[in-house]
Amino acid sequence: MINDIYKPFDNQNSNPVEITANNISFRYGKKVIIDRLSFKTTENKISFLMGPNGAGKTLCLKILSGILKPDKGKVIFNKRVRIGYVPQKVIFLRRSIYENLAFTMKVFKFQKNEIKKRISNIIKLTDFENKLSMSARKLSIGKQQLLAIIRSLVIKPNLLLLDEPCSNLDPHYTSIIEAIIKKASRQGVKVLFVTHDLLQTKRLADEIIFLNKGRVADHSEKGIFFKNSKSKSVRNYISGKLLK
Amino acid sequence: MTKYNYIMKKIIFLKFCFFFFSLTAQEFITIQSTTSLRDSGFYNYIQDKYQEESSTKLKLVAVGTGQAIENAKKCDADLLFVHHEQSEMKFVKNGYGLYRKVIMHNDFILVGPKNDPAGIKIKKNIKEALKIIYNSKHPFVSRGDKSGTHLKEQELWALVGIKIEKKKSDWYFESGSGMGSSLNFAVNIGAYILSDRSTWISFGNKKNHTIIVENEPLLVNNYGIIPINPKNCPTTKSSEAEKFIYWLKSKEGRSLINNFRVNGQQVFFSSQGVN
Amino acid sequence: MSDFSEILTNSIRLIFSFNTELSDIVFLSLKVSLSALLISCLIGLPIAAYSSVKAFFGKKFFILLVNSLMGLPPVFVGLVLYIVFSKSGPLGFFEILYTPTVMVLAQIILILPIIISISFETLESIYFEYEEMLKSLRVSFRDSILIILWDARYCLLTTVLAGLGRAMSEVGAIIIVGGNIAYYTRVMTTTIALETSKGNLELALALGTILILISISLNFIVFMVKHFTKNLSYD
Repeated sequence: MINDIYKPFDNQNSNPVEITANNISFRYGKKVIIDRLSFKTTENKISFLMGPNGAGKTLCLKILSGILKPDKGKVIFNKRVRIGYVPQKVIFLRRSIYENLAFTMKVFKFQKNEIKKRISNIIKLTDFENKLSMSARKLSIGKQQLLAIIRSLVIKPNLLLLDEPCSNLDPHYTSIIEAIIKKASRQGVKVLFVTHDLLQTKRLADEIIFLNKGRVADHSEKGIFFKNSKSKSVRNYISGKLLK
Repeated sequence: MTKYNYIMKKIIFLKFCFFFFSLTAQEFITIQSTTSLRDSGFYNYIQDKYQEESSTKLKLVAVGTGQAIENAKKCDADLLFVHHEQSEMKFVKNGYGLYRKVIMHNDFILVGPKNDPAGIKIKKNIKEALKIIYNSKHPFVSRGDKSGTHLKEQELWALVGIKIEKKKSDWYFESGSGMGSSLNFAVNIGAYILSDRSTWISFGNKKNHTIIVENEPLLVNNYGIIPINPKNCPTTKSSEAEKFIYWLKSKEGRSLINNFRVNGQQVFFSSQGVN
Repeated sequence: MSDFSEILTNSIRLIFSFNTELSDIVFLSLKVSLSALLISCLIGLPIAAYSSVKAFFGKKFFILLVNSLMGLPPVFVGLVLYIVFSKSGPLGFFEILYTPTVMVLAQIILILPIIISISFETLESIYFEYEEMLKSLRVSFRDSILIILWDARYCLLTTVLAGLGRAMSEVGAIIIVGGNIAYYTRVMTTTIALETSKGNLELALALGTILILISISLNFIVFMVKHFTKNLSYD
């Protein structure tokens, strides 16, 4: 029953989401941030988007989520997606925890009684299930990050786009969030995860798409990525060298 | 539906919207008048009495005579009730008003500090008084707002042949405001000032000021009333306006004017037979 | 000095002998200013919210214009309205000169820029924060406006008060267009001006004191509302 929480809205349709980025370019003014970026995720895997600072990871996520439109190229999904997006800087409405979750669900046209039922179920994943009427903005950073994950899940997404959801978190909250992500993935939710944390990547990732200077420098499975990547930039990145 | 009809409907709708905030549908006439009628309490008095006679309400806009005439020219009045004969005659002659009737009169007075620093009181003569003020350069406050009192004051200066160079003078001050405000000013700087009697009597901040010159034929102050010419302003309520004039000129109206008291004193005298 | 204390004691006596004429004046003041405030908010808040959410051509110029209009001289507004609504003026057929309606209109012109300008700043900063989230959820333009208005409601109370303060204390415009006619268009500020000019300083001071008391109590009410809804504002 508890696993129902993670099931995407199109559960009966068993094949998971595949993301195809087709020659995406994006620039701020004259500065090219993303340069003819192309990749295709492997279905049913937790995909990690990695790369040095300024590689265009966050921007890539924003384009995939539809917040930004690429100047050139296309994002193609193999089917209709419902995206749960967790930005780097988590923002909540000036409302209670319950209202924040309910608002997101209302946007996706959930029925009133379903909203109530689902929120009371999903909030059990947290340690503030009795504080639904508290302001979401008054939660600690860790709890806010957790609530942001919950908010992205509450709409029954079939694709999760997570931008460093565990930055600044202690091991306790990190493990809670990682467990949630793993379960969601097992229930058929496609996960695309941005992080710098190599240990977390080792724990969670199935495949890694490595960006450098707005282009895909490497796209490989976890084992290959860490042990014998063909890409020099990946090897430098892992060993902590500055990429040129 | 023609376009004209459509526009008219819109206008009617807008008027309806405005109506929510505006006065009730009661009939009223707008009188452009001088501040002295309001500040003395005369207007409140006469309005209450008139309400016993008529259902027509009176809306009195109290400004200086000059401004009242300008407002009336713009048709923002049904009646003009002011006190400067020359301007009033010109108003009627130019077709803005139907005719002028003198309703009542009182007089202008010269007000100054009790100790009379310029030494005017011995003469008791307005012409001499102005000459003394001019020669001694004692502070004098002028309305400077083209009101009836201001126009009167200018006539008096002209009569004694004095031309004031306002820019250079450090004794002649133009207040540019109503009679009461100007009196406040004069009282505070210890200046002489020409005022109408009714405003002075009802003025509440006299301090050490008093009447220096009064009761002179030269200082007579006639209040005339003029109904607005409907040829110039088609929406003017001529018949209601004329009813009010007729009432003021009636035996009852005349005795009401004469019975009006401020601090126990009669301030307006009904004018008979003139015009 | 004894002069001043005498005026003060007399005026306090007058406040407590509050009569119906005085209460009519106070009531008319509130009616005019609150009507102006209500209409200004109904017009101004949506405009401010629209401008915060939508990027449109000339937006910066529009905000600059609105900010400068905050300093509109009331006398000038009164004069323009007088000329426009004079019987011989272009809108004279409305026949609203010397009525409370035109006073409301004058106050709207004076406080609308304040409402728009201050609420725009509040709403813009909230939208700046929310923008990415609302876009990622594909919330419609209309709903975005409603969301920021709703979430800013307690902040906007201060804006509304600022507008009301300007409306209640205004005298220059309404004395021209209203004519300061007894029982019809005479409000607190114009009465103060009138009684001062008549030399009735006690009455003028008494009215001024009442005006200040009203202002303080309105501010107090808003303060209490904000205080007791602090937990509800979720800020």
